[in-house]
Amino acid sequence: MKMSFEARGALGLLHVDEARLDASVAIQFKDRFRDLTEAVGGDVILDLSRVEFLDSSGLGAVVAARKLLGAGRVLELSGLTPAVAKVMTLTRMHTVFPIHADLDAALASRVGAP
Amino acid sequence: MTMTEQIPDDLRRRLVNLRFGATMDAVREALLTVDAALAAAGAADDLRTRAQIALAEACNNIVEHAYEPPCDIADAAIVLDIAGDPGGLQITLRDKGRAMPEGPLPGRELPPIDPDDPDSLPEGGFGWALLREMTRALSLSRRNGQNILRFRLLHSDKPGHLGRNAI
Repeated sequence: MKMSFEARGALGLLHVDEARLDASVAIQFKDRFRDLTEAVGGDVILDLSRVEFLDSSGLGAVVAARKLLGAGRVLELSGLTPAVAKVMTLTRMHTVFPIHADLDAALASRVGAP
Repeated sequence: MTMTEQIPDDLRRRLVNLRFGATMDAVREALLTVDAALAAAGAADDLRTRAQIALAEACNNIVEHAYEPPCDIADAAIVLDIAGDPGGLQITLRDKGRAMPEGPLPGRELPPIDPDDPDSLPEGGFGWALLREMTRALSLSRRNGQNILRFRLLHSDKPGHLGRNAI
């Protein structure tokens, strides 16, 4: 499971460098998310721009990742491809996560935020 | 669909016949094979996406439930057939795993979501809802120790928001 992480102050940027976030990598995703985001104390932006496919197991792993951050931190999503956006919308999870068109938009939305 | 809409000729025939092991990795490989076959046959992006979502959920259900460990069924496999016709795709999945519990099949209901309470968010329970939303004419039968799941994907379909149009 290829993922890369950047810390920008307290903010974490987590890039998923895989074409599919599905049942075969869902557990790995959750474990890697926990390990990588421990280093920062703030919100996390999950860059999904390379993910072309998300199934319900992958979605469950993203929800689990959000829970790992706890109530005081936010998990934001950026760069949803059409298939990923479709699953997010149909399951209404788009009402749970702040969603940005791309990383630039995600970062711009935080200007002035603590 | 209107009469003037052109359906590629390649979609009017048997497109996929695959047999693969009942593992998540084998399911992923099979889905990639299906997507390549549908692309080669000229299927539209939206139909390919719906096929990927529906097949992922259907196959993962088979791996997780019909062949749920500990599973002593030798040669635990899934057989997938996809045929094209003027209206869309007819999909059949067969497995030799356990039967579904008696009673009606799960519907389109989504687990409840409270965006203000992250700890309560559901991490599962979306599979059947997505499968229902993508497909038409879904049926599951049991014959000679096999589960046979059939459904259709239309060339042109606009899934509504889950929860509406509940069956």
